[in-house]
Amino acid sequence: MFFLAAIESDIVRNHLEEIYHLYAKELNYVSHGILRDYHEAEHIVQSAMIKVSHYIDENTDVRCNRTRGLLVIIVRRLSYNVYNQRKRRSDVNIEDMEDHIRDDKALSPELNILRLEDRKYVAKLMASINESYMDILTLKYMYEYSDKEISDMLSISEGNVRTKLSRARKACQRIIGGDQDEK
Amino acid sequence: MRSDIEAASDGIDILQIAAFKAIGEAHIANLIDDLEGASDEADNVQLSQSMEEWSKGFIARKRGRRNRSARLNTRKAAIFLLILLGAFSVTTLSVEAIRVRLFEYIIETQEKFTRIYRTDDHSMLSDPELDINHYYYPTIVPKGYTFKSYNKEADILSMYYSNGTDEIIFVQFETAGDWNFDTEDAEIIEVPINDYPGYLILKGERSMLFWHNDRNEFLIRGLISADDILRIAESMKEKK
Repeated sequence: MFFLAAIESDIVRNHLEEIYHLYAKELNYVSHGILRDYHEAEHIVQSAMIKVSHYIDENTDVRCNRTRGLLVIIVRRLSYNVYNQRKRRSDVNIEDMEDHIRDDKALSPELNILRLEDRKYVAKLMASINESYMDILTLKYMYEYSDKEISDMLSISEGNVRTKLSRARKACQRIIGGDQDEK
Repeated sequence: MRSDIEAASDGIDILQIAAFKAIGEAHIANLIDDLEGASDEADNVQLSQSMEEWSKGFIARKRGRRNRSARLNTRKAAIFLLILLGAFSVTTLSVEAIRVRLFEYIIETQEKFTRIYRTDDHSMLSDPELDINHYYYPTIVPKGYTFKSYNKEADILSMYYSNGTDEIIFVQFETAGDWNFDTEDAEIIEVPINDYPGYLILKGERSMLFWHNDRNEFLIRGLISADDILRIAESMKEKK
């Protein structure tokens, strides 16, 4: 029992070391691009490392884009949390815009037949409208994290996660329906 | 991880989930493309010495914490085994002996795994409603203590609680600091506070607790017991 725990611990530790060596600079770059402060950027990267360490196990592929993408999303969202707090800004305009989107639970059937080549376009368009929606949609449906896990990762409330997810789904429908230019 | 129940509660079906998943994968692909495009700039980032030291310390602590967790689990299993053995030998034990054994088990559970607090010797506190956007505040303090005042200088917020004669000070700050504590003749104990490492410093009747979370560092000190100071720390709430 002790022996197995020690082996697992060593693998996880090695994963964390590798994550740091592979991605620390890149993550710092991402955070600095938002905060324009190297000290704060390093603090954000440290927070992201702590958060992601809870989701690392011996089966994690550190070098895959999935892990890299997860780290970037966490760093980006944490950076924006600090940025918004610092500037006392909120994304009210975007929220207002999203409020115009219909509150339907049944989404457009076009979503189900989305062509492969269109997905990157939809993702990019979604990110351009509201990057946080796209990040949270990705954590939910690609990474399959629960609302609680997303809430912990991004240091936002579960209610906020649910609201953003709901709006992200509606925004997706809107874009695929071709109304993305309406604001 | 996402459950089917959770998916159903969202009112969306499997095909839609698959579509969102595909769009999520495309989002990651876009994100990686952007990163690759900026790889030269990212490579030029210089990480500070303190960042490098933090990473070494964090990884080492992670190892320590996992090992400690394994030890606790094993100890817990040993306690259950003890209880089980006690059950088998019940005919040889008096009623009083069984009570003692169960009582000890509950105490062990309280101290190591589940903290259950008595509230009759503590007071519940609500948000002091400071004129500050974001801060943390304790919701439990030893009985007789109430919020008195606060002081904010730069990013350091100090909150003062008093029972009329003694004072408890709760300090929070965002910037990583280099602190020197007078620990001569003091006992220093590493204690986890809500999953984050903390250091409890006990010196005579005075207690001091230093810990951090993802956002802030914290310090509590006062003429209170170790148990009281831990209760205050673990009761902390965030005001956004």
